[in-house]
Amino acid sequence: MGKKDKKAKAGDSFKDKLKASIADKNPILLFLLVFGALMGLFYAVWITEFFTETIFNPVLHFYARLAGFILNLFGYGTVVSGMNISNADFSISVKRGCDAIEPIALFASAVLAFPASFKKKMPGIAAGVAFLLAVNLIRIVSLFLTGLYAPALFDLMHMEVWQVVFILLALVCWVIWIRWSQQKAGVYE
Amino acid sequence: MNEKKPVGRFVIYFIAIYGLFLITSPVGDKIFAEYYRSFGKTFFYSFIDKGAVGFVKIKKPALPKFSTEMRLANREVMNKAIDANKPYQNARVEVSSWYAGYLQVALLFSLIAATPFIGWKRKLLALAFGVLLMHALIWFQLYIQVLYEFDRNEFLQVIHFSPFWQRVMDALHYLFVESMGLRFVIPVFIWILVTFRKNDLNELLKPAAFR
Repeated sequence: MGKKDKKAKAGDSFKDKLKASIADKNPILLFLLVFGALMGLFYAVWITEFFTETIFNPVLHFYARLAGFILNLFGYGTVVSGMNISNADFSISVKRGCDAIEPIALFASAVLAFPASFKKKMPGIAAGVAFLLAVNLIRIVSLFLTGLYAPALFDLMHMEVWQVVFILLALVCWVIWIRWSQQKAGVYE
Repeated sequence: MNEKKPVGRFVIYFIAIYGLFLITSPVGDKIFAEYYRSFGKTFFYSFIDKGAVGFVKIKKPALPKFSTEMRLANREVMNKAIDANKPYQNARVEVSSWYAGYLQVALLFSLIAATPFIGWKRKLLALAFGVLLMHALIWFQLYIQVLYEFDRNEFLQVIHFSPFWQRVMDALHYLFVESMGLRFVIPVFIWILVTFRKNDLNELLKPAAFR
């Protein structure tokens, strides 16, 4: 085989490999494109003052009141004022980032971007959102208790642990939904 | 068990690997912070024609995890002052390599390493591409921050944006620098992009995955 032939073959095989690799990634790339577009849309709305005023602040107030109520059930004697939860020994403020809205958007976008019928997406999103909201309440209560009993661990729990736990939960919820939607479609029956 | 419960295994491995990153963080963060500073110096020291950016270690940080100071100056003013052996004005901003890099890298590494169905060869390849994309993300975050700070510190006379671009910069700065959420979301995108192929989806959908 001449040098030219060898070069041509090597070139073809690289081209073929590249083509095959892109083809292999196609559904993933398409999913990521839609997923990214939905997240981009979310962030475009998320950053507006309208969203802060109409969604964020009421959600944060609601969380603070509910977390205060739960803590009081266990006798912590908290007082809730706006977004602040405090008792005689400790006080926290429920702020942006403590609302689980971004992991919820991540989960919902992943579900919406996944190729499945819309009928199966809605109950999945509703269940996942309810779950993540409930876990967020646990996060706020647990952070209050961490601040009260182990203040040295507060920052670690707040930033490094709970943020990542929510990302992980959003991903696990998404995978569970995929499986559920496929079962519903009768793929494995 | 390994073949039957990949989702459970993924969660356990993820927690173990990410936990390891947190446990080793006193050493890991120091090494990463050094790397972050030299990365910043390499890419931003000669920032456009007019600006100069330096990254200096803070010996006793006022805020935990904010161990780097970014120093911004007007290059011409700085060079003249250095030649005349005089002090010069600069803007100083505390930055955190921990929140702006280490945690994202830890998250991405943990996601890739814990992914089931995939052999180590593919994981290593995914890690290599993933780390490359993480560098692009860290560079972009720094780029936004440098632009924002030059514009904000008008006395440096390096950059001045129009009101429209100022609003755009404010939004980008909020999303990529101030807020933590997007910093944790992007590694998930990178993970999916570099790790998965269409056949992996079939593996995930096997009933055994959830038994």
